[in-house]
Amino acid sequence: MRRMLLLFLLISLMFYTASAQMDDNLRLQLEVRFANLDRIAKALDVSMDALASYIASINGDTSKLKEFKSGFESKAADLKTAKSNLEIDSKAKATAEKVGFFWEEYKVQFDANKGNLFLALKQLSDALKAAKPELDSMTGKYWQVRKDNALQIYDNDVEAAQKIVDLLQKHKCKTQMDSKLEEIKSSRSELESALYSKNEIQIINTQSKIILLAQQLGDFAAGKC
Amino acid sequence: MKTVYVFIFLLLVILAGCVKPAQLPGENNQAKKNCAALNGFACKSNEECRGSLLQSLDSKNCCNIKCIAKTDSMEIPKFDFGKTDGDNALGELK
Repeated sequence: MRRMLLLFLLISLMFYTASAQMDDNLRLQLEVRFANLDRIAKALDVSMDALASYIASINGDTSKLKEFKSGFESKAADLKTAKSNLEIDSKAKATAEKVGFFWEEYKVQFDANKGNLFLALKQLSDALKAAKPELDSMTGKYWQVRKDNALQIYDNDVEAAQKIVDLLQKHKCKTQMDSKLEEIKSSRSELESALYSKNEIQIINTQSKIILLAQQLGDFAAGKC
Repeated sequence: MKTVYVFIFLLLVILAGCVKPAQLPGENNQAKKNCAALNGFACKSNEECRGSLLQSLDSKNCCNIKCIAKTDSMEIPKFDFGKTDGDNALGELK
């Protein structure tokens, strides 16, 4: 009876840990997306101000541009309340829609007031140059969050996988599972260096390799060895 | 005399049918016992065996270790790092 109770407590603890870890990983994923969306929204904000300012300088009507810009700001702020990846996707789509409306209205005003493309681009470029220190800082923050969080997700999942492998002592694929988990563990430095490089292709390749190893480990855990 | 030979032949045929073939050493004896007698665990339809299946008389899913519910989270984590650069489409920022 005591043994049964102990087993029940152990399994309950594992469920709780696995579920807490999943929540933690989602939080880490969302933090990365928020940091990325922050820097994108800032660049768009600066660009829209510059373009609206150019339209005003050629005596165009900026009322709709201001309305769309304000809509964009409100949607961008709402983005940060998202609690899931799906919710971010949907809110990002709504934000992008406002950017689209702004751009369409800008083209209408530009043509109607015979805008000068060279001058408009110069105004845009000057505004982005002025905002460069802030944009660079946001990009730096994004990469820091992305590196830290990806490694934390990796560490969380390695820890969770280790707990399961340790529990399945009499498993028929135990040797293969141990060896596959070691292979995953040895990929940490590769992941870290890929994230440091900020090279998307290198990052995706390394992460895909780890995901594949985890799938193979899952197959062994399911008895396919 | 001929009748005697026929009788002996028939007797041999009958005897051969009655004698069970001898079991070879090392041949699986597990199927002779129930799962519980083999110290196994009979997995239900919503459970799976993450160990080895034993041959038992009363269960096709007699596992050498405790069965695990198919829906529980004893699954290996997927190492989901999340969406990476997909959001850049919002502003085409690289």
